[in-house]
Amino acid sequence: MESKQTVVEVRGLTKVFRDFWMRPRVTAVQDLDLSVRKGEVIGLLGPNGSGKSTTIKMILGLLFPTKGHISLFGKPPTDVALKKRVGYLPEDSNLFRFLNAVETLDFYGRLFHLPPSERKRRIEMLLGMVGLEGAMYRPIGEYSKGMQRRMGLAQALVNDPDLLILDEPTTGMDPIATRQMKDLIRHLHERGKTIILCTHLLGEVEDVCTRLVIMFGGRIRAQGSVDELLSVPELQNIEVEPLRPETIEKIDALIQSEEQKKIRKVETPRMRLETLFLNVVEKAEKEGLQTSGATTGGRLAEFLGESAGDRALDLDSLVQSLPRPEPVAPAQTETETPALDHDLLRTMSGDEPVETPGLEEGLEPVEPVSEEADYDLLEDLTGAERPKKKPSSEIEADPETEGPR
Amino acid sequence: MKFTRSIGARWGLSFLAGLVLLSLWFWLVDGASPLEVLRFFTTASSDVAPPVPFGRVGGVLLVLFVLAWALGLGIVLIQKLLGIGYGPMPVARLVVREATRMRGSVVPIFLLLLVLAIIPATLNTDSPLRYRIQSYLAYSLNVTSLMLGALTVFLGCFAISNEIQEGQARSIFSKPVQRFQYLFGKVLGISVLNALLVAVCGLGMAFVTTTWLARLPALDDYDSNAVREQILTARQVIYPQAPFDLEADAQERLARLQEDNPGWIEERGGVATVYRELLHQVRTEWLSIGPHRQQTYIFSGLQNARDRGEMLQMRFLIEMMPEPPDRILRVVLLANGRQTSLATTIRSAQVVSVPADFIDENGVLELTVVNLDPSDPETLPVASISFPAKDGLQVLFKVDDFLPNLFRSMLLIWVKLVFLAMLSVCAGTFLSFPVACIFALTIWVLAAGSSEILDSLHFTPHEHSHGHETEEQATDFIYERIVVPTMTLMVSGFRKYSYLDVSSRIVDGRNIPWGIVRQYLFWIGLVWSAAIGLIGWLIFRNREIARVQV
Ligand SMILES: Nc1ncnc2c1ncn2[C@@H]1O[C@H](COP(=O)(O)OP(=O)(O)OP(=O)(O)O)[C@@H](O)[C@H]1O
Ligand SMILES: [Mg+2]
Repeated sequence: MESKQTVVEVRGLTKVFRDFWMRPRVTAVQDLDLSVRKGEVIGLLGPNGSGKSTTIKMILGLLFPTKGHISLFGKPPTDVALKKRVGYLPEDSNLFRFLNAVETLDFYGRLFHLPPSERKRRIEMLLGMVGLEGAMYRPIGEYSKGMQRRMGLAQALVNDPDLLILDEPTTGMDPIATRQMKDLIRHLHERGKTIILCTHLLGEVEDVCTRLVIMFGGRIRAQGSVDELLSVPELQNIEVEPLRPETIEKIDALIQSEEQKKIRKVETPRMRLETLFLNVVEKAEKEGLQTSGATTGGRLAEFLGESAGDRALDLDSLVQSLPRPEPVAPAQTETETPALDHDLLRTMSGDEPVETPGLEEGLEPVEPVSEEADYDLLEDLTGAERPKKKPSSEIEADPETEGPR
Repeated sequence: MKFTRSIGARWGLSFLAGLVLLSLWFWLVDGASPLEVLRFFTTASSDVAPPVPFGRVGGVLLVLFVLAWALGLGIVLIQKLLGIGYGPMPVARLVVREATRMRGSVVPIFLLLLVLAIIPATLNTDSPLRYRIQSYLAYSLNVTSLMLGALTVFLGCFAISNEIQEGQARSIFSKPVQRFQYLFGKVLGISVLNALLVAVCGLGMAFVTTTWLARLPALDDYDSNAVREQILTARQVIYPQAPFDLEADAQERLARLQEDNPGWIEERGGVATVYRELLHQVRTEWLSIGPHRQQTYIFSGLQNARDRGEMLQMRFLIEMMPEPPDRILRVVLLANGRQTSLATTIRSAQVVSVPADFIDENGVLELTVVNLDPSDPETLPVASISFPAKDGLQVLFKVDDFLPNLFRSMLLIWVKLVFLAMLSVCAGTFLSFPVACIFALTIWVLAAGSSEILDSLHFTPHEHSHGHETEEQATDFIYERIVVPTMTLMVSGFRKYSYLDVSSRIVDGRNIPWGIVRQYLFWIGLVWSAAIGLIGWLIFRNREIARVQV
């Protein structure tokens, strides 16, 4: 799928912010080399102030580099014509407060010289996709933060861009929109679009990115494919329906005798908060409750699927698959690569399944119990993500039934 | 689109509703039946028209209704107009949309319309009609150009600086928009909106003066004639020329002085200064007439008036030292040898009608003023009389009508606003909103007051009073060598901007020729604006859009 064509090429990029007297004050980006090939989904990670947004702005020509060379589709970023192929969601949704959603998208559509009929079509689809049809004639100044974020996304997609740059796209978005964002990225990836994703939600990155770039202090500290960076070859998971403690002991014994190894952890997966949230909202929408806010949306704007044609994602079926009341474990055993081994990353992402205390009587967990509370809290805070990477065709499968690690 | 069609329907309905409510008001409060009102509005000429069928409040409501409705219709239309095309057009349309929704600009616009509608109701009905109409015109023209100027500075400075500050510019410039398209679009949007606002205000003024004020009863015949012949008209002004060469006279005196007393010239500040003073002196002498003397003033270029055959108006203002006790003065005016007037008052402008056939076939009218009353030697004036140098003596004749002239004055106001919009938008490209506002306001004030500032710089009398000699010389030196030249340099570039006093032209019923309008359009609307725009674009091109200024 990945061709050799380079979409973004950055060499020795440095950005020094100067003050009014031209004295250097901040070195935001330092000697950065990066090349993004067509079809890649690049996850740009790093703590606050590490220079992610600055890099992106330079790629877009919104900031001028102090040193270094940037080429976008083989041309300098100041070339206005190539912006036709770019979509950008800035880190803060900055929209026109006095316009409504339709007028805003119409304005941006005009900047791309889209003919009226095409604009109308795309606006309808995009608003359907981001779930803002109900609020489309209200001024955007009245929108909630997440609604503005959704508008920002719609704005970035109006030209069906070849290169999509998303700067923290999911901040302020509800879990459904977050999930749809992920699916959208996957879908666009399948169509061969190039995406640069800049985010702090590591689960997001892990699920959709083909390559990670981790920045710190304006420099790249690590980069590589997700598999390369995340696989933990020393561990394996086995997923089954609940077993009696005796059986587990027997298995443990078996493993001991066969492989001279021990079971490290046994746990029952809990329904994840994301799933719970999706269920509640889905139910409310089914019951026909009114909202002045955003609705689920999720029908992918058709024009985004056009050139790919064949494999438009059915996002509705995704939502349909969610409200199942109880986790049902499939009668299948699959081996999985456990989530991040890297300690820091694991704590940040907070998407670890948590041990159920009820099972502790049967077998003492290998890991210290004190960690549970932290995971719980983090899970609540971040909106849990699935820890494992699955091919996109399988997303309808039950996310609730993730196995223990 | 379904959405816009409903807007059109809404406008139509509101128009009908307003019409019905107004007729009800006229009928129930002012006691005029709809038929009378209709008759009033369908008869244009004031000779046959019935009296004004509505009172003050009714008039205010009527004007407000007309203006608000015209403005609303105009806003819909210009949005449609700017909806055609790409590039700068959507940017311009966005400006109009924001400006018509943002409270910061909607409130001033509404206030302006309100003021225009309310002033006529506040005029003192005891004063002559001509004064009322003049006050209305002066006030409304000044308010319009001031308010729209301030609004333009606000919108212009807001346009770009705010979008950079708040970040909308980041999304815009990640789309295929050239920076000059964006810049131009902003100016275009503000200028189109200004065109609409100027048109609506002009409509208001035309409506109030011609259908309301002008049809109120005048004090007397003179009053109603004055309204017709001196205000609601467009007259050309001819200033007098001397029968001899004023400059040659001044040169001669200078030469004599140089021979007699070269040291004195140096003391007075050099040859140029002395020559200027001499020229002024020669002019003043020509414009004053000693007792029992006479002076000749030549008005040429009157072929046009002769052909039209309408009465000429000779307008003059006489000063006299010392003043006679009854403030009545007797002079003889001989126009091409024919006597036209005898007595007049001093210190207030007089208008005397002169038949057009007094003008000779070359279009010249030679006016001789004699400071003497031969028929009554007892009351001979013993003092000199003089005409003030500015507007002391002139001949006027009608060349056009009031409404076309008002239209041209509105065009001039608009051209100035185009320049102001360009200036403010460009200031917003490199300054934050408040700083840009101050910057643009300063330049606007300098430009609008440039004529007066220049006058005051060059005609400030230096009174060498007693006191600390050396200190005064030092401040004088600073004033003359530093302050005057820098101010002159700064301001004289703007002289064009304000040398034509639009409101006094309209108030005095003086014509604004198309030639001047074209000059303004070319120089201020095109050359100046393009120059400022070029500078703004060069700065903006190198501006980092995502860079926030703190
Ligand atoms: N206009 C500016 N003037 C001065 N310094 C700036 C400016 N913009 C960014 N910086 C500095 O550059 C550095 C990198 O900022 P940047 O916005 O790229 O970080 P980031 O990685 O996007 O962080 P976050 O995760 O918080 O979005 C920071 O130290 C920031 O203070
Ligand atoms: Mg950032």
